[in-house]
Amino acid sequence: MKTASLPELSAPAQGTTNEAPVSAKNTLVVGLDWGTNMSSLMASPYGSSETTVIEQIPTVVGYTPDNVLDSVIPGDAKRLFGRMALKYQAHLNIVRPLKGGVIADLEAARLFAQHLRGILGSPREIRAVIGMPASSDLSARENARNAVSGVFHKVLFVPEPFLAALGFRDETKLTDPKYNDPVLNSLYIDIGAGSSDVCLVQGHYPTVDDQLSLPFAGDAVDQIILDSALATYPDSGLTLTKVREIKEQFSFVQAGEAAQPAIATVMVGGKIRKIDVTQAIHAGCEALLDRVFEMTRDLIARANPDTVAELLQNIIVTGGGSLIKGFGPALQAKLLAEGFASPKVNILGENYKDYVARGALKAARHAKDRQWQTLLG
Amino acid sequence: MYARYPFNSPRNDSAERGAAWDEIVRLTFEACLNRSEGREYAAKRILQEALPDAIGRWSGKSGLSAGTCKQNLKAMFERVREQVAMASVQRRLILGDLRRNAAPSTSSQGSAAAAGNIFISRHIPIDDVSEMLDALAEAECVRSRPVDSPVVALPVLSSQLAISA
Repeated sequence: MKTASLPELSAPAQGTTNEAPVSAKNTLVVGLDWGTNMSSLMASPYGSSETTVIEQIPTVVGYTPDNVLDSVIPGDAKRLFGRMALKYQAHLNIVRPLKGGVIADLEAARLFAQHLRGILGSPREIRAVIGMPASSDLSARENARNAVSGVFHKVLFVPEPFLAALGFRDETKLTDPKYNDPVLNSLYIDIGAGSSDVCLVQGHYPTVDDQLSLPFAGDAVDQIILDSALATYPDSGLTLTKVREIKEQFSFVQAGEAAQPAIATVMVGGKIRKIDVTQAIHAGCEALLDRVFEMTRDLIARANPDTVAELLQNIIVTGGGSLIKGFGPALQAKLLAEGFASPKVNILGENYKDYVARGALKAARHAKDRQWQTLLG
Repeated sequence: MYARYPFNSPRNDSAERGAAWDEIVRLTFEACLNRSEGREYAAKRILQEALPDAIGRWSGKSGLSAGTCKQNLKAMFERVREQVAMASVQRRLILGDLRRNAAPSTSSQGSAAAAGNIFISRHIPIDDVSEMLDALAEAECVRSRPVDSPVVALPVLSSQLAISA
């Protein structure tokens, strides 16, 4: 077949490494899961399969107020990021650039992105695939693009469920007959801060019919816990930040009478006080479980009946919500009670952040030159 | 809209040659725009079918050596590619402004689709990352079209796309 012959406009060859232009030398490809609470960053040189950067950084910017004494903040820095910001949070104005998985404070997001850029060294060009919540809209993408303009040279935004599926698959094991390929017939549940997303992955990327999204997730749970706790202890001085801390320590679902009471320590008027937040946490986490169960049930109903038996063996829960104690068994029990045959819910656990970033890095390695969106410097 | 002459061509080119060149430029723009919007199949169709024919027609009439033809084409391709890349950035910025201005009216619509969420509508195998990226680009492009806006065509972009001789 005839083809216009100039290389830049010819149909590109399949694969990636064989089309690397000379200018790609000293180019870094990056996978970024830019999470509300924690960001995961992975990078490798263009054309290389070696991952040279693997970092998890709390998504926090701490601004130093003018009245902080000299030498309190290391190097008298005007701003600290990530763990350092959390370490010195008592002396800083802490800002979380993202809310519900999307950028809420553009300036803080830009500073945080610059901090990430600093971790990546000094390559000539940086191309980043950035995960976005499945429910994010065009404005959210535009904000993210603005935040990383001048930080990365080229970007692509990809829905997180796509990246999680990509990241969860281990290509090196595909020839192993015993390997259960998680993208062939699975149901992914991603419980983030701003939204809960459930999607079917059956060998192909989820289409609009394969996913459900609900703006009810970690942040909504925090609010329920706060409201419930304040109703019982109106003078406890609880804030959402403190509630988040309490939730990370005590969250649970359906533990029944065996549940240990969740006793949180709060400071009221300079005095330490212990409050029982068991019921408040139970109310918040159970509300989340109920919503996720309903979405899971509805999405299973959409799947091809011939695939459901296998699908029920591969229900995978990721995201911060997956860290709620007992969430997997509780969801499994609800599905069983609903009549589904032998459902098996797998929790990805603490490393869930890595899967999206790993998937993003895989996507970055496979993206063709023409597919990258160039940003203004 | 487009220059009638390739960059090194003599001033006495015939109208026929000029028209053949214009057609090549037009097709090149179309291919580049399709690619920038993730419509890879449409771009490939132009590159594999329409463009080789148009180039053949023009080079046969141009009276230029094969080397000069190739040089002219390469220079034009490169400029079109750069202009489309710049136009894509401008497009994003302009549409971003339009969306920001329209935000109060759209945010109350509620549904994910109305809010401009990005979905793909065809089955793409997991290991075909490149195809997935094309589908997302296409979906974003479709979602970002300001259908309800009076500014459907962006005149500023049209003028930016003109090639200067």
